Amino acid sequence: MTILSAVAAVDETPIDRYLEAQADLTAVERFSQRHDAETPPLNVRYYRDLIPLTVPQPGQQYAFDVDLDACTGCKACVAACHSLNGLDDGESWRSVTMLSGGTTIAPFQQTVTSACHHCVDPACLNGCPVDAYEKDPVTGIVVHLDDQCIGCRYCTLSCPYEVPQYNKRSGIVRKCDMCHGRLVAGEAPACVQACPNGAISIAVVDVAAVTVATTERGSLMPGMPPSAITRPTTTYRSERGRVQELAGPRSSPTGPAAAHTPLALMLVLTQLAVGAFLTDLVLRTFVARSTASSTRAFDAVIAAMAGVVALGASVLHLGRPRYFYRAVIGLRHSWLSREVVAFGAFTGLAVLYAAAAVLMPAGGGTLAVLGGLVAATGLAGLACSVMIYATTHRSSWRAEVVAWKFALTAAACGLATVAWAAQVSSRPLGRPAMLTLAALMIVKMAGDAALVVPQRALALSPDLRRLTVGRFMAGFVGGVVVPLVLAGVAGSTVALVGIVLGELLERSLFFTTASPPR
Amino acid sequence: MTSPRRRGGALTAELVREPGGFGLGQVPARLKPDATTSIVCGFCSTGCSLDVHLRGGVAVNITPTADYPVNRGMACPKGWEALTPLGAPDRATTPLWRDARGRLQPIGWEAAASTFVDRFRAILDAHGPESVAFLSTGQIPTEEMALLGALAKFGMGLVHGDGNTRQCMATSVVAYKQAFGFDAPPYTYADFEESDVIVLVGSNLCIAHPIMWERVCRNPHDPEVVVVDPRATETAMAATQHYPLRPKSDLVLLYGLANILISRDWIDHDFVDAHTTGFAEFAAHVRDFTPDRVSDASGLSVTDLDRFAATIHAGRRVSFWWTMGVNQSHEGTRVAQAIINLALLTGNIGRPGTGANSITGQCNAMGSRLFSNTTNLFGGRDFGDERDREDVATTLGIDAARVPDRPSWAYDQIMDGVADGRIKGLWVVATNSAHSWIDQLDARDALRGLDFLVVQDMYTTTETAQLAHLVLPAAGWGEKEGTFINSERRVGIVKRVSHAPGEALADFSIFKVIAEAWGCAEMFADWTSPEAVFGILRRLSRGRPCDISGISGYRMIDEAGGVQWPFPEGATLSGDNERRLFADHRFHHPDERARFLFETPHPVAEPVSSAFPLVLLTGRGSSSDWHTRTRTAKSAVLRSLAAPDPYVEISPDDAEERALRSGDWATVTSRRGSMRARACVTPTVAAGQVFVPMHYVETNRLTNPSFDPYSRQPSYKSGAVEVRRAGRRRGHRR
Repeated sequence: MTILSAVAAVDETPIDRYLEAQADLTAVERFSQRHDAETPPLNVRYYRDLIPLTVPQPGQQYAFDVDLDACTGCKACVAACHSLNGLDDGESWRSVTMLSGGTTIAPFQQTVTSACHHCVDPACLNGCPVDAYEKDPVTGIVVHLDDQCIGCRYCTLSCPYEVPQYNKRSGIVRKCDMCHGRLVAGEAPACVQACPNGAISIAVVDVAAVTVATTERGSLMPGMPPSAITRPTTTYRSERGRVQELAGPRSSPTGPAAAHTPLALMLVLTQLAVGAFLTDLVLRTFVARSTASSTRAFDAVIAAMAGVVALGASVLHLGRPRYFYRAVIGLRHSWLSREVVAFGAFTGLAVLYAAAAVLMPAGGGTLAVLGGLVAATGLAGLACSVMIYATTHRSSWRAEVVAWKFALTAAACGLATVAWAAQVSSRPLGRPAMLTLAALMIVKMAGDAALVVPQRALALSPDLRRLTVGRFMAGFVGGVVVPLVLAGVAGSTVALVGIVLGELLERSLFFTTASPPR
Repeated sequence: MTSPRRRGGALTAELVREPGGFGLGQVPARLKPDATTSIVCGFCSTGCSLDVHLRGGVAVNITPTADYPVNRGMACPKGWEALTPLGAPDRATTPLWRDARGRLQPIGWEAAASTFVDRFRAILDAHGPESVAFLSTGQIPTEEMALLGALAKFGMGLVHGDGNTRQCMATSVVAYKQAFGFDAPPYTYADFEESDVIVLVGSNLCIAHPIMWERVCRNPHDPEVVVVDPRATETAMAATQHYPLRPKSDLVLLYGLANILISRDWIDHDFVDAHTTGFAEFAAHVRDFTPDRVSDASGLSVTDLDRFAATIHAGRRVSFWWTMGVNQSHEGTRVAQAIINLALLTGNIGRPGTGANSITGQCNAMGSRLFSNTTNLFGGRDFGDERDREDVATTLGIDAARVPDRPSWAYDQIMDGVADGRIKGLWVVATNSAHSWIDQLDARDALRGLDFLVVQDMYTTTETAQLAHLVLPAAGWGEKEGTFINSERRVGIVKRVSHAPGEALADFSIFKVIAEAWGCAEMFADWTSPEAVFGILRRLSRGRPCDISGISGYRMIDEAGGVQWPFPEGATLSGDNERRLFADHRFHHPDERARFLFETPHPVAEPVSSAFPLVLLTGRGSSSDWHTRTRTAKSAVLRSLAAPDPYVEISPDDAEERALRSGDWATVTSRRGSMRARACVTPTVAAGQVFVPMHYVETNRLTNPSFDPYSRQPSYKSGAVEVRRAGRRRGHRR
């Protein structure tokens, strides 16, 4: 009855025709193109005054210059960076935050656009184990070499401004290059082109002057880390003169930071390995010389295995694990490279030592020399681990805090491992060792708890509550209750599992509740 | 020693940039276009032009058009990301029918069309022509709106249909119509650059219309920028003067300013005498609005009022602009007219840099004002006027008896009809009532009670589509052709540059499918394509104030960079392609005079009380969010530019009283419902007020359904709430 059914007799229904028309993209044929392929960039007229006419002279470099009075929070710079650089879904090298402050009578808010600050002393570059960063000698732009990167993500922790972002799809970090190719061609970077108010420009700055200017103010903007760390080159200008009234970011807390689970595993296991080896050494040297030879091989094998698993975890943590060997390139400046070398040596030597201990139980001289090397490389590795985090300038990762955490983890896990090994070898360490273990764990957890208190809102948020509770439950049961009340193989096994699990959860909290750089 | 480094390779190649040609500068090499075309953005009413980068005819990237008279090479984040929402996985790809178990199941277009006809016909047969209505949108091209309006009213015989434009600019329509004799926003964007005083009332331009703010920034006259807003918004921060008045004291303030101007004789007598009526009555009316009284009501000091009035007086080219702070008010029409009155008093109209200027919301709200055939008959005509009906019937070649003799119910009246059962069938096109309608929980209850709800949308996941019996899959912006009219009356063009997914069809085609299924296709035999309909609209506009008969077609619009109405036959474009109205001071009333219109201010519908002591303000939260986020939430970049959780801005005093710190979860409760939101403690919100962005689905659980009596626009920016620290459980209703 309807027209639909009437025309159905013909081959094609109106709906078919509409669907066909829908599939026909006719924009170019139907509408003239306003510009041909040869037309030079038309936006030049808008950004001509926003980019320098000359390249930097010696002692100078390019820098972002932001007119805060003109930044009104439209965030076009963020979207334009994404589109004009062909970045992945959600990826942009610029961000905008809102700071607020002032008083009820004279409220003040300020939107702040930021990207890489192309620092004079870039922490990303200094910390990179594979030298995937370079600071262009002429422009001062801090460039990331994407194909050199192995995806270790250390720069995402070491940059105080959290500029480098990990790209999961490609397994590497990517970051702002100030659109240097555009600058070479006389075009403005994406963000500069896109700001409707001309708030972002590129300036040529004197490196020495930048350093002075930023250190006098302490930081680039309220709430940002001290400029002394990396000497960022961005200038934030305001003639309103109200920047100092700003209290800090207005937005609500953004939830937990990245968990870096393989790193947590790697840290705990390397510490367990070094701890077990040293505990064994100490016990044999000072306490229980007579039981030494029979458990030495067992302890050594466990420590070596833990080291191997830890190294495996750290390799798997890489975005591009097959290029793990590049991690030693930055030995001269990167604590991460040094850690890799130290733990690599430790693990290798520990394997040798374990083999030697198994094959020649009486080989006193060789074992003593090897043992000394294992101990030295292990301690060096632990120290490197501490420095990796201590140099990120995060308040929750202060050197003394990290050193104390890692040392106690090594001591507790090491003792628990050796105690377990002794128990299954039917040569239990005895009550004093168990009391020592419980004491170590009480001290460790008291310290951990003290660190969690200032971060309790985050640590007890729905995202992390189970992690926090689990950390203390596992540590308390495995590290305190069981060593005091439960003897035998079962007791030492539960103690070891509980302690290691507790430390793994603690290390997960170490990453997820890390405070921003200050 | 330098270590060997990999400077090239597959990963480096991914990010290589190359000259893009076509005036673009460098672009990502892998997205280098082989052609480009320009197309007007489909989000807000600014009407920016975007260059679509095409490869093989298909859009792969977007940059703002460098030489378009509106946006001059710039766009806000929504424009930059305009293509992303088209690729979302929850696009509607086939008609869906809700089965007996309540699940949406695919059905073909033939079945969908016959279901549509059978169900609506059955309701109409049983309950009469007022029992089925439609709710449309300001987001689709004018040609589609016109076809819908003609199909529904002339073809299907419906009486009632309205659009979400009711929520955004109905107030301005009525204000202009009464004051000027026609709904005619008089300005062109160049006025932002020509003014020496710019007064923004209830407008957070920096966030809501960033590209208009760009034009303010390009003003070479070092203008005074005056912001009237209860909040210290981004725009207030960028202004030279900010008047943080108490919410809804705007009418009193504007009358008080008029009183100061009149009492100091700071008025343009020549203009007032020659081109207005009602001045004497208006002067008498505002005499009672003494500075002391206004100060008491607004919270502004008498000195502030003096300074404000003196600023207006000192300006030689003063422009007044308003947006939703005025439109979404229980007395918005009179507030808008109070702004118009200031422009009339001071002769600030018709000259460069002047005007009483309503900034519209949606990309094609202005198209709907003229051609949606809902409240007004085509071309700004009156359904109640027999001559207008004849006029339209003759132009369209239809029987005049098919033209209803009364305007449609407004959105709120339609929702009331849905709630009380007078309306049993509803057709919702490209809007999301179950999210955006005021007092949303009641609105959802009402929609659930419908016998038949059809939702025509790009996405199956909108809150309203989730309630539908039938979902019709629509092609979106960029997947179809047509024209939009922007805030400054500029007709711009959208083109088909991307494939619609599956069997999704342009709304235009869907309306044609329905017309054929309904059996009224012959009536639309000439309505063959959007451009053919544009020709019909040209004829319908002839001789009207909105005459566009001189626009020859899409190609002319495309080549000119948009054309502002009026553009009657024989008109020519100026060099800068910027034109304003009323240069001749002849308004559209029969006597060619503008009207002073005024009324005693009314209290808000829901004052604060001890149980609900805080005034709830709502509005745009981020430039990256659009309305109910059906599109903007599909882009990861846009999502990252807005707070992920709902939030409530609260003053330090009120927060302290409630032991709230920034980031804490709070419960915001009104008499109608409650929501969980993160506290955002900021002095930019005054004590006694809170602000919640409108984009979160929970927000309209709180809002109070009160309406301007003339425009029927909902008052989204006033309600009484309480804020408490949240417990563990989610907030629940009542």
